[in-house]
Amino acid sequence: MTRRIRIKFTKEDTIAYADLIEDEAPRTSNAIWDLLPLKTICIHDIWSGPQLLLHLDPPKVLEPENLLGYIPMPGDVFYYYRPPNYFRGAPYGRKEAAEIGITYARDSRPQGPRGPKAVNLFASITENLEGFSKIAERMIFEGAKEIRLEKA
Amino acid sequence: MARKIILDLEGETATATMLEKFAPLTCEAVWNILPVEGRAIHANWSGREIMLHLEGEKLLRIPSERRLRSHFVAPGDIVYYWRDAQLSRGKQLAYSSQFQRELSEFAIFYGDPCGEGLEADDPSRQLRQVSLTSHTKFASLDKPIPEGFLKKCEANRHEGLKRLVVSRFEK
Repeated sequence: MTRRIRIKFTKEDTIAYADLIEDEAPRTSNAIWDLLPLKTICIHDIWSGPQLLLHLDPPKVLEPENLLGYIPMPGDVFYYYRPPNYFRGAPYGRKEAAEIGITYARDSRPQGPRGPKAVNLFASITENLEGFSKIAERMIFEGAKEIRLEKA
Repeated sequence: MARKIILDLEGETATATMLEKFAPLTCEAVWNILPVEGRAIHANWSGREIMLHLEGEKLLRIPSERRLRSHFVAPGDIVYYWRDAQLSRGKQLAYSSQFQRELSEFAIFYGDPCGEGLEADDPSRQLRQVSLTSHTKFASLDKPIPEGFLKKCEANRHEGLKRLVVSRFEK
């Protein structure tokens, strides 16, 4: 049976569910599953269009797996790791970063200042993407929100 | 003497020098609509950039002057953008009551994006159809950019919309 992640903004009523893509990304799925529950601040991405991201602190280092071919589908959930000093300075206040990204609408492209990022696609929102997307889009106007990911 | 403008983002200010030799028509048009105020919104495609959408009688439709060729900008650059309404797809919030499908805006690149200043991977900004879109760099924030202003720009991303007033700066 497919394992599912329950996604909820802690101060919103809406709940969405994402299915792990275990057959294609087994290592990433397992690793993220073992980190749950996660409660952290979720911010809107500033390079990728309609995409949210949340940082994994401390960074969880995973190998590349099931890399997304640049264009995600709305609802795709992926993992990305940036090693220490990959970028000049400390983007997001971090010299090293591991993050989960969630694409919530068309036209997104996971990317950073230097272009496309190779991300591990490991889950996809399969229930209530529409409700999730409405809140995600509001974050452009309302700012960051606390989010909770847990085993469903 | 070069004209200057001042940007007030919820109490934190920065001045900028207009690039009148580089973009005389845009500078004159912008100068003539000042002061402009509205709610600044953080960019979602272009890194460390906030935008102020021009609305109503302040909306400008100006052809490009010395159109940027590379889509590269530097921290402190202020760019005027316009795009025709037909380029905006769907029913995004950005086109709802507060904003419009036709976009006329100031783009204020406030910080080091850590990626050589790559600007605007927003597809609509890269179009070459000059009848449908235009952009011109018309001012540059005076250096050093005040730390308080930079922090307020960054907060725009984390806390949401913030009131921005752009005025003439005349001593």
